[in-house]
Amino acid sequence: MKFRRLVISCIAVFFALGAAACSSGGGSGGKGGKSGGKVDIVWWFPAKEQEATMKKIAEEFNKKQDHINLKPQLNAGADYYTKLQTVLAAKNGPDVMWMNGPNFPKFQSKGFLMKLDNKVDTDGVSMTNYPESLVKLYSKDGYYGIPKDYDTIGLFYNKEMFDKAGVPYPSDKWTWDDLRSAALKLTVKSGKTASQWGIAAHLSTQEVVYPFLVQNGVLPIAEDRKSLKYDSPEGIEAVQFLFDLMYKDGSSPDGQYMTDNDPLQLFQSGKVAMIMSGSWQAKPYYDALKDKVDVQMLPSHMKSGNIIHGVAWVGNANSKHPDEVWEVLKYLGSKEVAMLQAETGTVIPAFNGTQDAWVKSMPLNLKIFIDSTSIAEPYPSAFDPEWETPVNTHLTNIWLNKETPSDGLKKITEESNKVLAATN
Amino acid sequence: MVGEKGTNPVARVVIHSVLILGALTMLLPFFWMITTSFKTYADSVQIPPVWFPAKPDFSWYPRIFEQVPFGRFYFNTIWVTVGRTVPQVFLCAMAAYGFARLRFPGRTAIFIGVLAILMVPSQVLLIPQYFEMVRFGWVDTYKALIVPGIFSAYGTFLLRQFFLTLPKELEEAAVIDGCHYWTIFWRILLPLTVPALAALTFFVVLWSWNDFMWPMVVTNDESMRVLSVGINSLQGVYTSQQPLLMAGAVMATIPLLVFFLVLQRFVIKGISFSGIKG
Amino acid sequence: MSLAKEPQMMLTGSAVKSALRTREMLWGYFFIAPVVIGLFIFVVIPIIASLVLSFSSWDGSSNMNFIGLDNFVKMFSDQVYLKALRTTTVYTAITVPATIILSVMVAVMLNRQIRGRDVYRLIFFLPSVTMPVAIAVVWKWMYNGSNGLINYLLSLVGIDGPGWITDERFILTSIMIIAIWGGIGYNMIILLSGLQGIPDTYYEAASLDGATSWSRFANITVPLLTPAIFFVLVTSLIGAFQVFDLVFMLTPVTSGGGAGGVLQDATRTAVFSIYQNGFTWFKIGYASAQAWVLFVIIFLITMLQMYLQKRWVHYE
Repeated sequence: MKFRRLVISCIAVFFALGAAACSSGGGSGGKGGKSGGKVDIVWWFPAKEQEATMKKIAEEFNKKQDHINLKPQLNAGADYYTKLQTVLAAKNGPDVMWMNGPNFPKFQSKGFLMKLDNKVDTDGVSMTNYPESLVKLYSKDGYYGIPKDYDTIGLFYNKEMFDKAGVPYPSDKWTWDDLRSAALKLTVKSGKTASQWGIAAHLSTQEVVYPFLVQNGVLPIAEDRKSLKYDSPEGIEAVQFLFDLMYKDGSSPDGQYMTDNDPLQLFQSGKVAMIMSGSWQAKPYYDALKDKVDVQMLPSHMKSGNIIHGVAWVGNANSKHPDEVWEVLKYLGSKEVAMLQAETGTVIPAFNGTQDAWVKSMPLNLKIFIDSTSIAEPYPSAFDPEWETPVNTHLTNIWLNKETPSDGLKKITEESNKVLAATN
Repeated sequence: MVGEKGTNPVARVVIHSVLILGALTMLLPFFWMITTSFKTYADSVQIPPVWFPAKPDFSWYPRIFEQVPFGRFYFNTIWVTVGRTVPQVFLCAMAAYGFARLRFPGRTAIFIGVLAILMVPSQVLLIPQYFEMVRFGWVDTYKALIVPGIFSAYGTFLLRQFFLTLPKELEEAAVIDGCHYWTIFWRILLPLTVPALAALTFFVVLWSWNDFMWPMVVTNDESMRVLSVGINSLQGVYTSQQPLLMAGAVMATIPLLVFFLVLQRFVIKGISFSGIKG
Repeated sequence: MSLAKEPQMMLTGSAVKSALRTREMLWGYFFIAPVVIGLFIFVVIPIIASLVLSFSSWDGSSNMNFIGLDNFVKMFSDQVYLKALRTTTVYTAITVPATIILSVMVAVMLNRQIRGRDVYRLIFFLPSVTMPVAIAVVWKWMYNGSNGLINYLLSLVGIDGPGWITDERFILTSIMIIAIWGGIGYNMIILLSGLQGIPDTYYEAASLDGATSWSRFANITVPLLTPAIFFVLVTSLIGAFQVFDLVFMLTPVTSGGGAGGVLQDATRTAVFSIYQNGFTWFKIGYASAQAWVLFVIIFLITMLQMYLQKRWVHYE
């Protein structure tokens, strides 16, 4: 009997609450509408670490003008693109959003993104304000994105470990050979197993493989995004070099070890002396290692080279308010916004000449990330995202010592080119 | 129930050793979650892992409250969970009784249809279901979070299995007495299925509480966010701070554990009902 | 007279019976209606939509082309998906029976009046409420090839352990172990509530007959638990065929964001492939077709179980 009374009271409470929620839910209003005579522009980004800055930017913008209400919304990190795809396919979603390089082609090719050309031309926005390779990254048959920020790759090193081994710190003149011999000297082996490694040649296309290809004169993808040529002697040499660090010199943990143990953590725990990482890693490395860590330009071989990637702001092609979207994009691409971003030290703003604040945000040699833009190739992307699957598949096999570098690269070239040739 | 008197000491030692060994492995991740929420960032990225931080860092918990409106997330999560659980358990019990006890044309076919719903991978339904929410104008409302989560094939199947184990004589007597089907369901059978209702309640609460993909897709505004989505948003795009994430996870899990303990008491008390049969 | 009266009485009898039948039928529809209608609106309509999509090459854009059976034809020469289906089958065939046997054992142990029973129950359920990231981190630590707990224990008895999650011959086994470990808690809850529905009087009667504890287990507990076991079997099987999260979590991903290689070949399951096609590559039509093939497989297996249950499931 007690049980029944419990159930009944539960149901009663539920309906009472339900009535309350429905009446309060009605007040929040639909989206994409107008509030107080203003047009609501919904603006999405996935980066928690930048939320405070984005809110501040929106506040500034809403103060500056009186007909748009810019609403910033953080949308969960890793699943951001899954959600974006779902809502855009339903012709719904934000008016202005964050986009990255690998995802741009597939979103653009589905007709989700607003083409900015005539706006850029007539409204006095100069794309020369941003690094050229970034502008290229978000162009197809015209401009689609306003560059927000960028990242390049640097060689982080643990000064304490260098001092202990009596090895001079990396310089901006370093070649692959310098890197290799220093890594060997910094490796401490007791019998078969190492207790300390000179370098972590981890399997990251963006931070390790592509930069090394570029340094040997191989493009990660052809200009027209329709082919690649990793099986050239230079391509094989680059990957063989990385492979030898693991399996010949033993100056880097091997693929198995780095699958079991996160290489970034190995560096942060002082188990490896050097690692190639993106500029976004500067802050966590500094937090973990403090003044023991510094950073230098990547070594060169045939030439110096780097990879640049960056985020852009794009507009929703199905937005009900295209003019207002452009107004917001224009503001987001302004120097004012770039300065607001730079002050927080989280990202390198894309607007040329606003990077100083970021460089000074930590006592590291962060200038190298800015200097590297002139030697950097854009992060490769193509319209069928499947092109990168063979790259990841065979590189993983090479790193795990299941395929030789030359065999693996031949397969990548063959399989990826097949995918790339099938798309337009 | 088998009492202690039936067990010999050797068996007891064996049982306890097996249970303790199992329990330890089950405890470990939870333990890790708690200790990590008290680690400094540097400790949290060590290899091999640090199990007991030498200098515990208590700052992650206050930091969460600075970064996200945790109170609002709690409210939303509780509201969504209650809103899904109460009607679901009730409606599933009704349907289960219908499928288990009443004869009507198409019963087996409809039941198999209900069961078949479980077999479609939810990943391919995400986009059509979202389209539906757009069509209904439910995006960013509690309705989208709650209503589609009420109707459950799983719950119907679970309770049907339990209704099938109840002796038929109970209702036959009632039918002869001229009792209504509703009365049979409500007064005679439902009280006997309390353990199963409790089990289902627990599952529904657990799943609503942890449900991530759906709430993430159908809500945009921070004020509509639930705990699972809120905690996930603590993860940055470029880097994540494990201790912060784990502190959030600990806070989200505690109410669930309390609920489990309370419900377990209730289930055990529920057994006394089954004493009436046999 | 009497001869004429009898059929009449029978007629009234059957009329009453059919009135009762109609009443039962109407009440039957009434009881199932809310759930069935709700499921129809929120699940069946989207399911039909996905079926339609499986005959298209839809990629999320505005133009949707219907390509007939092309997706299904393509699938039968798609070695990656066929391999994924085989992997999923192996995964299911091993994890489901193992989880169920262990869950029954644990549930029976925890249904006794043993010391610390409530604490054990809580702990066995902990993996279900622990954040998946924490579970992944701890298992990766245990599986670590160079300094993990398992290989350390193995080294004590002189065995040189393999790389549990870095060797393509072991990684699927390692993932299955976690699946079994994590599944015990769920099933235990259902089985415990099944066990608690067994009236004490049955056991008391058996005790009077002098039954041993084994024969009580075999003759009372197991038969009366079969409806709950049947439920656990059917839902675990469906769940195992749809395994995704665990694989996603434990298959190493390169820091560039992509994953691949021998390790992913060894662990790619059907739903993993569906996710990859649908969300990573935007091939929603093809992903829907893959999902429908998986659905048919699960459906046939479940129907077989429904048919076979008459032989072993004990209903009142």
